[in-house]
Amino acid sequence: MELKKKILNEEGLHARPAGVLAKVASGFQSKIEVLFNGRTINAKSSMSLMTLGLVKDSEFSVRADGPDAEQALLKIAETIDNKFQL
Amino acid sequence: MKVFSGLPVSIGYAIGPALVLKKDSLVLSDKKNINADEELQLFISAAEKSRRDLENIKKKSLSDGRRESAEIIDAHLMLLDDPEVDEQTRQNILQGTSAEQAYFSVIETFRQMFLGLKEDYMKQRALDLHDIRQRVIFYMQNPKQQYPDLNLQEPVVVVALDLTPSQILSMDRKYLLGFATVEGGNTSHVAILARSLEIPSLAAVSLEVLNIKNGEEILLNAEKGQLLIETKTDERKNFLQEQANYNLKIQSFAKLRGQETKTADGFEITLAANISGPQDLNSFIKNDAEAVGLYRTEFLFLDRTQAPTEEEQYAIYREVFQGLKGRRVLVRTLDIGGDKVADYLQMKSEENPFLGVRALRLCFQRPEIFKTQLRALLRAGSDANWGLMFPMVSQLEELLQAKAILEEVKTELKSEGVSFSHKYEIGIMVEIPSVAWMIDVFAPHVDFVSLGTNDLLQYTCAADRLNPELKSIYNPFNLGFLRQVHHVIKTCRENKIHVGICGSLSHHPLLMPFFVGCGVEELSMTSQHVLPTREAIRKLSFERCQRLVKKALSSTSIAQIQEICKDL
Repeated sequence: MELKKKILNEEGLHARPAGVLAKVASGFQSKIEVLFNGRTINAKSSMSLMTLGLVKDSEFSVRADGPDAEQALLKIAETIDNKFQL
Repeated sequence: MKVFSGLPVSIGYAIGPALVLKKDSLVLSDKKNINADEELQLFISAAEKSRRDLENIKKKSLSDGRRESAEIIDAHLMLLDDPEVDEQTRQNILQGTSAEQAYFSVIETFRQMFLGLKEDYMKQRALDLHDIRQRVIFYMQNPKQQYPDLNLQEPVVVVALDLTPSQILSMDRKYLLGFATVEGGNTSHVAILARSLEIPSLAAVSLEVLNIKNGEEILLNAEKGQLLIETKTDERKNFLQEQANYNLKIQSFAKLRGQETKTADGFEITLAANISGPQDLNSFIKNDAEAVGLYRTEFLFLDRTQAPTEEEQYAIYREVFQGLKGRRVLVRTLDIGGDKVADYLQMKSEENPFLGVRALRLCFQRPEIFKTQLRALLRAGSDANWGLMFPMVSQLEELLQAKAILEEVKTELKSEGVSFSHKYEIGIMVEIPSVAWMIDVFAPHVDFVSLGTNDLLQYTCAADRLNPELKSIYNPFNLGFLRQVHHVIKTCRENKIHVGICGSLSHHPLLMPFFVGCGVEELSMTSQHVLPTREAIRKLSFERCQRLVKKALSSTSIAQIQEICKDL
């Protein structure tokens, strides 16, 4: 399953938001990946997330594969829309 | 006595035995006959020990009420626990690499990726990776030892090539009397940390300090910028006296916090701070400044490879506005040129840069840079108490042009549906004589003006303020200069335009009373001068200052004016 999202918070994917996103992703069994600019990285790794250099308004895709893929994508979409406020 | 001089990055005094940290250079061991299971175990336990260290540091930071420090460590913990780093390191080890080699190269790949990103914020994260890697690899190489930054057992003055933020945070504040590093400067993270933790420290000390023996007594004077060893009895006594004087001074200033800034006979003045970004907010609060009279935004544009983006600027301005909690801040738009250059702007070299394309003049040539800054400020200022200040204005047309560009930017923001600030003040720096003498013409167009005395003086006397040979000509007691200052303040007061001084003369011991006597409403200076200046103002009589002005303005020589100011 795949989903297109856009970064809404001002600072982009800095350490804190990346940490929040990785933490949320880690709560699911499924393999979760972020696709941006021709790269595919592990969404459970905040370091990898940061290396994407996502800034405000960057559009990217999230892909989930596994038993809880649907719940994972829902939760991740919510996290992004909430600007990574837990 | 041996004296090492250095750059004081955090003012104060310290005396105690040296702890010399030799360069923690990373030399990877060259292992033969690698046993993958053993290496894997080495990696797991090194990561665990590092985690335990960091958790301890974090706990300590939190119990000391240093949330900011705890957050730095949190970011480190996150990097340490990263599943991708873990996975890749394990894979490398299973393919026959040593744990050290594997971990080093995985972190290096990430480090290089961070360094390759555009944003400075991300580049800084590469430092965090370096910091973590030092610790983890240390534990791989020395499984039975403790990473050397921890567990200070007694008060020491630390001497090192360089220190990392986590090393400083891990040291027990009550044992870390002060430190001196060979590397580093005023704006490094370590310097910022040292100031916020109030640890006396020097940077840029000569490499020879590393030859000091552990336990040898160090006298650190981070007011003058000196590190002393092998002191004789009287030299030591001298130092202790200076330290005592300094402490006394600090204590007496502390009492002035929360006090009003007004003369003995009740003339009130706003004592403001000059800042260059969020890193100065701590000092602003600590020194009880009442407003920001000059926010120099150009520091955001220097020492980098390209101009900061709108978002980057927005985030920084927002942090400043929020940190000031509604206190007034006058933001000066980009003042680059003169002695401040940014390579990425590819500015043409000029015969006389101080008389050339600088500040607003440059902004008019590069409207995209100017507009980006205005957009970021307008957006960030939506609930702030702020004013927009244009530098290097020499005629009314320039101000009108700047205002027209501002209107364009607002129209653009409106059409994009972006919310922005509608309530802000507009003002100019008065630093060019032509403007000083026609300040009445500007009055209907501005809410405030701020006298930039450093430039005003150099343009008035035609003397380069950076040229030491012109010291006697670049002299603030010059009558022509003082008449201008008086004229500007008086005209602004008559026209009900808020008038302040943001140059370094604002806290000049002899001239400050002159400015007060002219009726200046705000004096703005580096935060650390705020409390001493408050003390001085509270002892003044406004009436006597007014008389001083009258007398000074009718004198003819520099020596005479100086005498009059001294006699107050």
